[in-house]
Amino acid sequence: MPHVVAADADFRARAGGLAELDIEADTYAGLIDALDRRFPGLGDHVRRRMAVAIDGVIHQDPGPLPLSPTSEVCLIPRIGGG
Amino acid sequence: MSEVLDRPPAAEFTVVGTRPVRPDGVDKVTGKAAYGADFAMPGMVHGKIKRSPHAHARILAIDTRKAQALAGVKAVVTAADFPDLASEEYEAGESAANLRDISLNCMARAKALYEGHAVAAVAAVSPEIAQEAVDLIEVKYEVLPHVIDVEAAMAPDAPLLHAHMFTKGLEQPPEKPSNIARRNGLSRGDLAAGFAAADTIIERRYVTPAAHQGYIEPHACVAVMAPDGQCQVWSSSQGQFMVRTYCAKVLGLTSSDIRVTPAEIGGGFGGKTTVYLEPVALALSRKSGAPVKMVMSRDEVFRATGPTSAAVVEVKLGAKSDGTITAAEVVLKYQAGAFEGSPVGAGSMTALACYDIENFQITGYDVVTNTPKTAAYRAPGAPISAFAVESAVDELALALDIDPIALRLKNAVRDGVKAAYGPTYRNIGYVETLEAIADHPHYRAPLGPNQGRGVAVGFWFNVGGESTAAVHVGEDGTAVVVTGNPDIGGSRASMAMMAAETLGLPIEKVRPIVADTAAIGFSMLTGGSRTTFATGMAVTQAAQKIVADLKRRAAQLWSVGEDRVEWRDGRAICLDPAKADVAPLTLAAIAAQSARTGGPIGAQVSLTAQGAGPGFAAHICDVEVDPETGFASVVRYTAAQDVGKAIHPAYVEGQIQGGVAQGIGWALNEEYIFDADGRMENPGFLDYRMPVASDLPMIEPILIEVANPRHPFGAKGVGEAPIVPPLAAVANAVSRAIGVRMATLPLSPPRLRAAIDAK
Repeated sequence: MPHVVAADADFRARAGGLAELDIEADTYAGLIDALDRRFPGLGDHVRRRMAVAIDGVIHQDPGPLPLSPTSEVCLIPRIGGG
Repeated sequence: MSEVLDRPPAAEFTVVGTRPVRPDGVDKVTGKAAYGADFAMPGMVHGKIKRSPHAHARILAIDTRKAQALAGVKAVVTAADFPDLASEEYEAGESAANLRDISLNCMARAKALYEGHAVAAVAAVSPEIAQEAVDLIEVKYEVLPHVIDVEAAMAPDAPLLHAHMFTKGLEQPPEKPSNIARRNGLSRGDLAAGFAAADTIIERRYVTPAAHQGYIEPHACVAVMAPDGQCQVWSSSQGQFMVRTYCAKVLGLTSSDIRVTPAEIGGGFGGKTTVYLEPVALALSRKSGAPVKMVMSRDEVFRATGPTSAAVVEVKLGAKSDGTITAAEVVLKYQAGAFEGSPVGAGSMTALACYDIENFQITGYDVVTNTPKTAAYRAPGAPISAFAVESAVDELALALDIDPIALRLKNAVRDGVKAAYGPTYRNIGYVETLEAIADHPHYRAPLGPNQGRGVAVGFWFNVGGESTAAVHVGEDGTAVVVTGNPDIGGSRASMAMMAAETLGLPIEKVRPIVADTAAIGFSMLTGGSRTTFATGMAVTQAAQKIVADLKRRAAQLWSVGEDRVEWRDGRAICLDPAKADVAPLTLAAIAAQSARTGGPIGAQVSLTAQGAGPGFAAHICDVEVDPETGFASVVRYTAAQDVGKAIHPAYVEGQIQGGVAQGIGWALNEEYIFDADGRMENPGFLDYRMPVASDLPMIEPILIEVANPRHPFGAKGVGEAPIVPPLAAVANAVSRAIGVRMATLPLSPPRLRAAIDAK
């Protein structure tokens, strides 16, 4: 199942201190829903404040993007710029 | 959502990669380009802001009666004329911002949080009368203790800016409020074991001053609200949709009732990714019934708009004698200004992004202070952390007697390496940039007396995001490309070039336009080095839709199947053997018959661009230090950067040169200086010294093209990475020239003179 890595203290605080976990999901949106079921409120935090790198490619709001069982889903604070 | 490509782009292009004349060039060199301050309307009045003279003060009363009684005054507003918004994070710029903070930054309510904070505004028939009225406004303050320095603001007994602010990101919820808005952290491995395995440890504290983006054009706008609530705004910003959303939220209006037209922009560099004047001008217009023009002075730009953070960064590096870095610890303390939201998050994530280190810990603090709210500045946060880390790496190279480029190559991230901020790198060109400067003649050139050479590297994520683009074909076969992104760095040219390449048109037949919020669909603002990547993707897809439509139309005209038509070099070619004598149809020929084939030819694409490729930069800097005066000058500078694919190489080179020039200014001269009362002492370009052309050598850019397979032409963002290495490259060069490690910026003559004397 996809492996979730979070480089964000707020994520860890909402996820019971976990920085890495495996979540059963076949799309990114499904993964966020699953995270929210396990840690209520975490899904909203991820949607509002975080970007994601899936297998090394940075996305913003990738929604129904398919995931493979070996996908690395790295959640990072949303990035702006100048 | 857009498709995420993952294939190498075609190697050869006709238009992409060439250097055509810029489409906005004539307007700009002839002075015809219309910037924010150039707009005027019949019946227009002029707005001015009353600003706090105190760095921290409670506002007890504001008496506007004398101002309102002055002949020629049409309206006076204070915070009472704005809705008292609840704290709410809202996405309108690049990432979520707190609407209450934005509103309070435009107009103080109850407390003034920095010198220059707006407390009231006036509209009058002339700027002079408006200023006279501003001077007649009487504000009764209770002056409060203030705090400017970031570490002083973190102290438990520091004056508190916000009684409601409790530090976020702590394991245990804090019991007392603090100026520390947030603590963030990144870590991996076993830090203690990493340092225990090191043969050499370098540890030092680095200090950088607040630096302003320094755009030449001050903030300016004209705004009008009609009696039926319909609003129009003309302003200089990095995003007309951002202006629309923030105006709507700050004033309690509806977005569709606000039409924002982007003026030409005279520099932004991140500093025009928020609003200061526009909501105030609309509030004045609502009250006066007239269009209101507001233009900041340079003094106001310095005192009231966001610089980037002043910061303290502590770095500890451990390495084996062969140069392998075994552990790194970085603590970052960034000034946020009056409201939370410094770029310490990005500073933390980029701090070790160039290094493959097994054990590290990065801790960042976002700290509010009685200074203007910081705004984004080119690769926000990254130059500050890079200055500290790259200086420490240079010190490590000296301690280990290893060439500084070789040391960086030994610890370099590559494809497949997990970045310190989380993801696994793909298609990066970092090693190539390092090798490019190592192989460059500059690196082997002899140094003169009192000269030193510094090396530093830098990283920026680059982003994608939401963009809309439309392409319309005229009846003569020319095309107009319409986007919603202000052109702050050459995006009009690159948009036109990508459309021309896709359509097979010469660039002269494609005209790029930046449209207002009513004329094109939503686009995130221009920033984050996203526009050529993301909006370029929308432009390319719109042009591809047109090509498909042109093939359909040609098939219809030839009475053949669409699969019998190929689009090549701007012409439809008939592949049907039964029609061997049919001449190709040019775009112009098809456009001339559009009425018979389905009507006007055009396409619009809206997407969220995914798959931006990160940028890496590696720089060499030579400086010469006058030992008598301590004056340092940059005598040679070479900058290599992975740009993916340079759509317009001259613009990309310009981005690199501009970023380096700003970084050199930050390193050598620029700083905010405050007096004991927290008032800025140098709010002008005479005393806040930015480099001018005569201060700098020709900056030599080297474009490394490691294509981003997720963009149709391989592009990566290019605008931000070049400002990341210069602070450290200059400091490393100076440190080597004088034989003293310089860990506090700017490297001004008095500071260098003192360091030389103390040797």
